[in-house]
Amino acid sequence: MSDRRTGVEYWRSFEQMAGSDQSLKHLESEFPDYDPKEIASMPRRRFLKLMGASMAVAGITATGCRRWPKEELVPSTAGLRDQLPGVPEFYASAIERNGVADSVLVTSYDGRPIKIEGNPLHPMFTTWSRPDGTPLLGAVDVLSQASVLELYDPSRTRSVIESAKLKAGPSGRSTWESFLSAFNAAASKGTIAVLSESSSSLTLADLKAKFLEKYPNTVWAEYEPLTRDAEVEAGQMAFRKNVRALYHLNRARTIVSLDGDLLGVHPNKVRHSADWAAGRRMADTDKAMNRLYIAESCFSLTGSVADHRLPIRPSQLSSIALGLAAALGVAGVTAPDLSEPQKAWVAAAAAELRTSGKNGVVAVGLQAPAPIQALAYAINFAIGSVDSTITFHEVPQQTPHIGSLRTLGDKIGNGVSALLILGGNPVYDAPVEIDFKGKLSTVPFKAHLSLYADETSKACDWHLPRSHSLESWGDGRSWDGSIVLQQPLIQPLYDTKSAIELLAILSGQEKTDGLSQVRRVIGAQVPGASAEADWRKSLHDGFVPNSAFPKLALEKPGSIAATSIPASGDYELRFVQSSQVFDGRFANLGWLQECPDSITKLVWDNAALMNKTDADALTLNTGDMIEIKVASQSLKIPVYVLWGQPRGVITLPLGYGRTDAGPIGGDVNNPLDKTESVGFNAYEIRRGDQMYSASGSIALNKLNETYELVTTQDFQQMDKFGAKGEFERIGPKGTSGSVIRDATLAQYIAKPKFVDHVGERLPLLQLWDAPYPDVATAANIKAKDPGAPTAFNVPHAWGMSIDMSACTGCMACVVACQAENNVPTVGKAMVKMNREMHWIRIDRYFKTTVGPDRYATDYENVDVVYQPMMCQHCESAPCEQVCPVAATVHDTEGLNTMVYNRCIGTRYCGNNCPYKVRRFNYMDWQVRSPRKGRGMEILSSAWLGLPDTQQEQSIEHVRRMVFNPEVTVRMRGVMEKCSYCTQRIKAATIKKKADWAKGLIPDGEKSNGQPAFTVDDFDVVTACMQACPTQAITFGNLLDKSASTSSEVRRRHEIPRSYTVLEDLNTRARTKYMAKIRNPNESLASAPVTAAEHAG
Amino acid sequence: MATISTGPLIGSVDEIDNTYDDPRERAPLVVNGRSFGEVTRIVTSSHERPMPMAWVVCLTFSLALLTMLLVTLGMLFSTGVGVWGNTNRVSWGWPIVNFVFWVGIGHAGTLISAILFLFRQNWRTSINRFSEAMTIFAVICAAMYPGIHVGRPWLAYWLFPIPNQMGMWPQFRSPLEWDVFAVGTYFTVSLMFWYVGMVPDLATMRDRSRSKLEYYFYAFISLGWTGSSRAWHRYERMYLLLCALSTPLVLSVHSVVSFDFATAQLPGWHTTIFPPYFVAGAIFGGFAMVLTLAIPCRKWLGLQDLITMRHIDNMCKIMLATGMIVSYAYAVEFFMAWYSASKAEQFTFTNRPFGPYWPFFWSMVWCNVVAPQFLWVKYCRQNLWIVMTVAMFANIGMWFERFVIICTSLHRSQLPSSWGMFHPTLVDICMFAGTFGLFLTGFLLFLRFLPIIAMAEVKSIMPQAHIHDHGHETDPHHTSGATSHEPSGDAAKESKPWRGGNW
Repeated sequence: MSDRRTGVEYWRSFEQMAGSDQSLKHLESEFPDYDPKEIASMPRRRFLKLMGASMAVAGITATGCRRWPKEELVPSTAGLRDQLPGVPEFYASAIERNGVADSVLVTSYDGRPIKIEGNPLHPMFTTWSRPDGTPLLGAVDVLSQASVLELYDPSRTRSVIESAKLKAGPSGRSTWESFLSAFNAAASKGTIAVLSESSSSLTLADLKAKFLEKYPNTVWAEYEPLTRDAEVEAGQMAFRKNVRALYHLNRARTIVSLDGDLLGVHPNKVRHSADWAAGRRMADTDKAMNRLYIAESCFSLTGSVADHRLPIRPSQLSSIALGLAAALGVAGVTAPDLSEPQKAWVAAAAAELRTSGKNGVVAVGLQAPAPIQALAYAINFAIGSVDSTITFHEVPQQTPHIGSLRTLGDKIGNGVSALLILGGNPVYDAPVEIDFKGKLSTVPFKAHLSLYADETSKACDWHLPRSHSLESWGDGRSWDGSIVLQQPLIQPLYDTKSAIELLAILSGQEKTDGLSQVRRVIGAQVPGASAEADWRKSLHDGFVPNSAFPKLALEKPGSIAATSIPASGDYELRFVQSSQVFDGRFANLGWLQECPDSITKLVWDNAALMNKTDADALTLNTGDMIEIKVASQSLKIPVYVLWGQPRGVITLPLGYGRTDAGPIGGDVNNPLDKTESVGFNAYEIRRGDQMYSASGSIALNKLNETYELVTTQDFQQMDKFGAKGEFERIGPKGTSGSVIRDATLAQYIAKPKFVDHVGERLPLLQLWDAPYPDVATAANIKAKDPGAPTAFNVPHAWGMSIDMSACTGCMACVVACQAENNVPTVGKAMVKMNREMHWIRIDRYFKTTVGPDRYATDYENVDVVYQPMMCQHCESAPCEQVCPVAATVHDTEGLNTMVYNRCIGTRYCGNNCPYKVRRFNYMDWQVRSPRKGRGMEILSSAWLGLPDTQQEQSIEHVRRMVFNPEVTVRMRGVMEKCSYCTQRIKAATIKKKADWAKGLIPDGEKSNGQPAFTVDDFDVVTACMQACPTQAITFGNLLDKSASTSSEVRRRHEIPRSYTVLEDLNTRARTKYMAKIRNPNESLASAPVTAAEHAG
Repeated sequence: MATISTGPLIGSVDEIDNTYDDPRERAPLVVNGRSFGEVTRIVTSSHERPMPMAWVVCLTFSLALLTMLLVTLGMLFSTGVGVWGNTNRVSWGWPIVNFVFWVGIGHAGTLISAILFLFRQNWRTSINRFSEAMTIFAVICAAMYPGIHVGRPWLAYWLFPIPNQMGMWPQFRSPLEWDVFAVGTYFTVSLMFWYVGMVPDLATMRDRSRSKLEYYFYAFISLGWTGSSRAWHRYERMYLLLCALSTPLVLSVHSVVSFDFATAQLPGWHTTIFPPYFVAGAIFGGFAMVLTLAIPCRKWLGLQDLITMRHIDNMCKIMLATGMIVSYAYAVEFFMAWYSASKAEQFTFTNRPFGPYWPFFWSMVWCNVVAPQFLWVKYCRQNLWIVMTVAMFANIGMWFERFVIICTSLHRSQLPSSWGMFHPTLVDICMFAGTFGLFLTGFLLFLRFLPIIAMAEVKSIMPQAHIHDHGHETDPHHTSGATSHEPSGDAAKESKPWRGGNW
């Protein structure tokens, strides 16, 4: 009680009156994030001071995130210039991960960032452009999209935490000032060490230099669990330079990937996916398409869409690369021994690469050993694809991760008095033989800057709360090297600092705010960018123009010392990044935990992926626990038996088994709110010398335990009749079924309308004309019957087209939809009950050759088909006919709309939907924790509030900020489903009509015969279409058609391979699918009975 | 109230065989030569004498189940319909299975009352009251489910066409909406029918009342029945009209319930055979439930002379007949699946017997197709243990049938990606058990407080009611009914116009 009390006061208890330490402790435990003294003593003056400050802060929040020249308080009584309440604004920013920045476009509502999309202006993220080259849309992967959820994660730390204080009281609250004085004291006692996560930020690099100036003896290490050390090494090996290879798949006719997941985990996946898909779509226009070969040791996204996938062991990759190199005449290479299928694959790929020449490319995984990467570079030189499909760029010097971490480990104990960890989570993810946690405990002063008080923070003396990238200034480089600018969309929600700000303070900069630092560095390094206009343009565009890494003209590399490695041991391990939580840093994000893995469809878990033959040998089934022993370490993990998994390889996704991630990702040590880990920590057996694959002494024991793995598809072991029924619908390999239709390119060319001759086709009797006749038909109808209602036909008829040829199953649309439409997460127990809420799902079907007993025998060679499935907006919708309260009805533009506040939840529509895309809110998902409870308990629900209003009170306030205000947050008991993003449609049509009413658009008809106030193509873009990196999803107005131009969706609907799923039900779906076209090499294809031939 | 006596309260324990078919003589429907007065005493004894221990035990058990129902309802309302096992694939699970099950049970009562009345099946008189009561309580159980199974039960009233300022009406194309009207009408008419039929008997109970409270209670609910000729006349007209009104309802209610499925596009649901098939199934299940209730009741309440072996025999025959119709419907469904040449349809019907829910399908076949075949044999129809067992099988089988139709069709629908299993939760199970509590509590209270057999009607089919020669009274017990029930008194008994031949 510092303030002196005078006069009359109220008090609650004697202890409070006395202001004893005990009462303060009570208060501290009751309100962990507040200063107990503040609560205990609140004299009038102090109260007014605080109120004033709060209002001032509120002013900052509403205005500070704008790009005003100066940051100052503006009373928002008159409203802000250029801002209308409820009208979203879009800002370019950047999100950096593992040393590569994604350029993003952030949607902000009234000062709240709520949605992240790819920056269309940045060439690495553009997916759609107009024919004249004007960029339209950009895409970005699930991880960057989900970072908006991370921003509003209530379990982010809100203040500096000191472990010494934590021992005394429950909160451990401290201040930045106390940290700085403690740091200075520790720094004066000996050497400082800094362990940073990988970053491409120029500002950070500059501040690092400044920091090293101030503390010259500093040991600076850098570590990322998903390190790209091998890439750096390969450049040195091949060219003696720091080199990065950029692939230009748009120019490639033949793509050969050596264990490179170009479309899945590669940092440049968006560009790769878009370029690859453009080459697939040529099948419709040019009767030609690219061909993708891949040899891979785990089932990747790229492998799942490849035309020829060769499953290999990690150790066999060098043989394959050498075989390819030898076949293509790379100097100094001798052909190794290969098995028959490998030989065939290599021969076919080599032959095709030779003919393709500069239109061929050999891509290699960034995790592959350096000699193989260097060899791949050499092969590209040999086929002449350099500077065409592959270009080499000079990158700055990079700190080797494993090496520097080892050095740091050695230095600890030799005079390191203070260790500052900037980001990362090395206690959790450092190579196991380094024993980072053990070493860390011997450092006298250690501090960790991070978003969450994670495993590393818990092992440090100080936890420093970090600003999220959406609330701090920064910069970075995208994969091509362009400098991208990270501008904050919101003032920091808590008392946090970014790494830039922290280093600026520690290195004694005059101005320590992020903006001045970024401005200073970017301004200095990039000529022209210092001028106000250039700076503003860069900020607006999100990147500094012409700042990409310079292209290198390189000489053909000399002989590469790549040797064939014989496979050793029965099993090899392959560590892969999790498709959901990356290296584990996103473990606390429900969206990602619940986003099904593209291939396994697992949610909320990882598992050891095994081939069925291997599993059968050990009598293992999916869900059986095994123990994997590598040297002295062991890992217990359940098995998932995966089609297409190479034999002898166990794939282990990293990033799971977090112990201190938070209430979603696992908080094992929290005595108050213990939450089990999600999945199993594969880092426990990962060594620094075997970061991505391990072989040698690997032992596998079956444990007599089972574990429940939950997927969104394939719920049980399929019985014989079920398998038969499934085959009939999907079609065995090489044939089409009623749900999935596919063909080879040759078949498609021979019979473009093949989709009409496969599957089940009952005669479709139409009782009335389709509601969206083209303009001529509409005129005819009108002429015949002037009184005919036209309301259903104009002015728009919304439709969607989905190209299964282009879909890579990357899940970007799923998370985009979740963010756009406030889709809740439900948790593993509820997904197990098939209650997941995703409005769009990606159905994954395996296709394989089967024997007469309908059982497949080839467990390695399977095809995969992805079918994104969401509401089809049937014109004759089965759901609408059965709703007793008219809660789901058709609108005049063809949308099957859902009126949430009319829905009473009979779920009849869900039963009657043949596509099973309707999702019911069985509980108050937004209120419940996805980790707690299995649905039976009463107390976990907000049940005492009036049911219709309870959410407002019960959803955590910070979490609520992520909601899109344009979309209703559904309460329990109502049905929901894809709305074709009706809010976006309305925003666009209202704007257009308003402009027309104001006279901004001239009256009359457009060239396509539509009224002037109708929207144009791409004026309305659904969230899934926006996020799709391969243009697989197209949305638009089906009425938009004239002789010369038509909307993209209309054009696609008319492509011969378009078909309607379950068309025999005559639901007349507005969503059409474009059959998957594969492009197998005739010389490799085993020529199965094909659907098109079958149909004759 | 209770006695430890396990024997009958009154009358004989011997089963008298009146199941013979002698062309010279109609088999008596009331045996042991009971007089009118005895009939009255037998029927009212369940009200006037202490109840057997079995009744007390049953009521206690039922009340416990009813409490469980209320607890699970509390969980349901507070937490959401997620407490059940329903999924996004199988959106309807146990709640709708149970709804159809209970509606089916509630079918037999009105059938026995109305259709058998119109067909002049005199034997119905002993069992119609009781089966009507069963109908009422079963329909209450059934009607509860659509109300509570919706996601927002506090808005379930939107199913009713209530005029409102928004001009928002229900969607009349939806079979669920038809359900609301069908079940609602059925319940209303059945309740009225039951009550109107009970009025003369309630007057008897009024006349026999032993306390003021009882007197006023029965006097009130018997609507001042005097037994005058005019009253009887009006009563009969009313009864006949209600019969005519309920007869189509018997057929419509379950037909409409079957439309819930038949009008959907789902393979396994979308079929035109459903209305007759559901009606036959409901009669089958309803009679099984009547037998399940009648056999213990006649034993414990000493009603063997009124609900005779012939009654049981007749009910068994109806069960056999409707069971055969149901079996035929099963067969036709499979034939149609094959004949339709629709792969999805064929798959659904292969999936039922051979898919993961095969135990349910084969249980259904055993219970509904195989078990009733025992009833071809007269010995089996006369052995109450066998009858009881077959009836129990039919009850269980009909539940399985609804489960098979609803869950196996939904769990593997058109897209293989969306196949998934349905597992009931504890709440599902407890709530279903709880509805038995509701049903049995109602029924047991009915046994205690209301005339469980239509006395007036039973008397009308006794030989004494058809005496034309006053001098040759054959009934030795004729004068023994001193405290006779007959509201019309002994004098009227001599020449009642309504005995003339209408009955």
